[in-house]
Amino acid sequence: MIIQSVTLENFQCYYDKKEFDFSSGLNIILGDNGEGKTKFFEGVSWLLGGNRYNLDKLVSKKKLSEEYNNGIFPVSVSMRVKMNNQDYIFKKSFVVESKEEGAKTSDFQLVCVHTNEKGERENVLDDKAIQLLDETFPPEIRRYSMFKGEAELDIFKSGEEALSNLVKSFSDAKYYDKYCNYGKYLREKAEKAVDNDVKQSSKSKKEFDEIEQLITLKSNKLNSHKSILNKETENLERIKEDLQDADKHFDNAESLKVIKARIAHHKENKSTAQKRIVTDFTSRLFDEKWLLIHFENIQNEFNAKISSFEKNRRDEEERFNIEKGKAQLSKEILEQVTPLPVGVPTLAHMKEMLSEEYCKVCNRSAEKGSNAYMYMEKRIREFVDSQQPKQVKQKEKLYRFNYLSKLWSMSDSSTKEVLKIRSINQEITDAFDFNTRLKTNLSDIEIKLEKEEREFQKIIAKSNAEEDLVSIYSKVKEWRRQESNIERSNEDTNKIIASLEMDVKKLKERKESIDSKDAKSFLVDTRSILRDVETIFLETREKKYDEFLQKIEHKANEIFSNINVDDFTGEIQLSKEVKGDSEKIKVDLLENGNLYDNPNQSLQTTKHMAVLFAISEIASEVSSYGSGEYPMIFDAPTSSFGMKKTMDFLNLVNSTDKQRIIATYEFVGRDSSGNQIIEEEFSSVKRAKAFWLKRESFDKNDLSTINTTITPI
Amino acid sequence: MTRKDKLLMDYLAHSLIKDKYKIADRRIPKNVDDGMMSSSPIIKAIAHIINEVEKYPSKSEKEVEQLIRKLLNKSPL
Repeated sequence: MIIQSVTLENFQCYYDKKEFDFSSGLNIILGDNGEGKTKFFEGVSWLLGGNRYNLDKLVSKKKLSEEYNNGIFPVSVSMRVKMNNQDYIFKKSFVVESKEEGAKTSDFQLVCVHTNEKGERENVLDDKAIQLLDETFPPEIRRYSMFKGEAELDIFKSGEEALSNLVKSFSDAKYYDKYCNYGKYLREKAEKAVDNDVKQSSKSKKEFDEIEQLITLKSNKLNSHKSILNKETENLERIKEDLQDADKHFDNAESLKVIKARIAHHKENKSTAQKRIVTDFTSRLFDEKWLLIHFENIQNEFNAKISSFEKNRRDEEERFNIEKGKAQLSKEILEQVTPLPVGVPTLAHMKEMLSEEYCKVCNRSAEKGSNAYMYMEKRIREFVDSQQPKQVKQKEKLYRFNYLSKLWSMSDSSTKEVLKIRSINQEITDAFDFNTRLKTNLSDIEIKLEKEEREFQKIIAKSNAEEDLVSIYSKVKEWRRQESNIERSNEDTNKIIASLEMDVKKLKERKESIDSKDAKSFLVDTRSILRDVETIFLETREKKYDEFLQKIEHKANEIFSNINVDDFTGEIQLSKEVKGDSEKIKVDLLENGNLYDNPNQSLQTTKHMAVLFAISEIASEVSSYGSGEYPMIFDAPTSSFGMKKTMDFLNLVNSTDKQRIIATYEFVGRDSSGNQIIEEEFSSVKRAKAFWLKRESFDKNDLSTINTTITPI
Repeated sequence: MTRKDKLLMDYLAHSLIKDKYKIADRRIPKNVDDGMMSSSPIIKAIAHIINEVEKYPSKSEKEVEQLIRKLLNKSPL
């Protein structure tokens, strides 16, 4: 059987008619969380077996809001399938009337349009359509064909029914079941016949009765203890599972802690990057500095002018000083005085020469009143004057103030500015580069942040809610205590059981010896044969079940080794666990023959997928279903895989050449602007067809705006 | 091979048949009809059980038990 198409009409987020046109082989539905993958899965599930309750929950809110005020419209899911060259279109639909108080729905109807090999067409409704649907896609097969999330892949977790369902659906071992009941019944009757015969004999009647009573008593005790042991073992398993889950939660809690720290780090980086990006870029660079770009020319002109002023001033001053020097010289020449240096000869000599009226410098007399005498007097005065504090005579200057130095000082300070201004061009270029780098960096941070936040959500989704982790922490201690108590108590119970079994065995042996003495031999012989018949029936059934499990195990291991090409190289082991009257299948992983404890989620998922694919292959070999092969539909089965492993997994699934429809959020990423994109890696995924689910732009607070679109890739 | 015969063959392949009852391969019947005619009470019993259980509608446990007990009580080991 091949699903050729699935059409959803006004079904939840699928507004109006949306069609998936499938191919045989691998069909991949890509979509981020909330884009409609699960709704597609739910649509197909509803078509195949959904009930008539809460139909209003299936209605497209967009359509409902559009048809507000008594509008009527259909909601349907239809599937076109091909099987044995015959076409079937199954359509389940109901009508919605939009009322003020909400959607009013009709009952649903299932219709099948069947076109046989000759092209003859028939339309059937309801029960007949259901019958045709069940013949086309049998419920036994469907149970192993559709899986939502990773948790559902573990089909054996549900308990004892899983094995019998599997055997009933796909194995001839089911034919051996009823013989076990016949065998038991026949043996019990034969036992009773012997017992009755012995009781009729008076010889050992009393002893026999006593033994029988004891056997009954001990057997009852034994059964009671076995029942307690079973119950407690189940409790212990549950506690162990809880503890194992808690370990995962602890891992998750640890991961959450790490991811939270990483998110905080990215957020801090983002905030820093945002602050560093200059938002007043234009005004800062252009309005404030651009105007100064030609300042250097003005500065140069300014400097040139100062230099020119300075030169003029120097020339002027030179000329002035020359003129002044000339005047002084001519005055001195005119006065014909060559002044002696002040203080030569000394004051004492001068006074001595005056008192002696004799010039010892010229060696001639200088009488009082003579020119020589007056000259000496003058020199003494000059000398005395020179010893007096002098009033500084203001030197005569051409320019009273030195404005030029002020101008040079101004020039110096603006030269520093000019150096800065000269770098404006570079600064603008640098600022642009810097901003671009910051923006790229910011975008990288945002991508990382988004990735971490998705990872965070993933972990939260796996471990229920964050606050659950806290309550799990508090329960673990109590679970550990219970685990240890039950283990101790089971040890005691096992000892009691062993002792009771020994007692019952001995009593039975005593009873047997009485039987063989007192009962008619043909009854004992018949009992012996029927005991063996029961053993043969039971053990043959066991063998058949084991063979079937081995067949699944063998196929599963072939698939498992293909999925895990580069990873784990152990093997899957399927075993039957019998507890009282119940049987369960245990799926373990072995590494070099030893149990591989606590495999990670990805490995667990791979293990379950391998088993499911094996069952699917076996199902295709079961002739009673007629079709040969059936499609499998998975909603997000590889959430724990990561992109690389999902790629390998999908490529492997594609190579099986069987129809598989797999919805996944892998390969949907975001570009730097936050728009959804399909990651480049998807181009390496081999497939028959792929679809990309996206919601049209919508208001996240208004469900009536949601409309999923399907884009073939 | 019919399902009945397949069931018989599978049951008679059990080790008890050879080890305890010492029935050689050549004495193992190939079908239920032959099994019902076997001189071995255990083979005969199994063949009759299969024959009755596989009938449509199949016999009740009580009916089968009466038949088999009668058959075995008459057949010495």
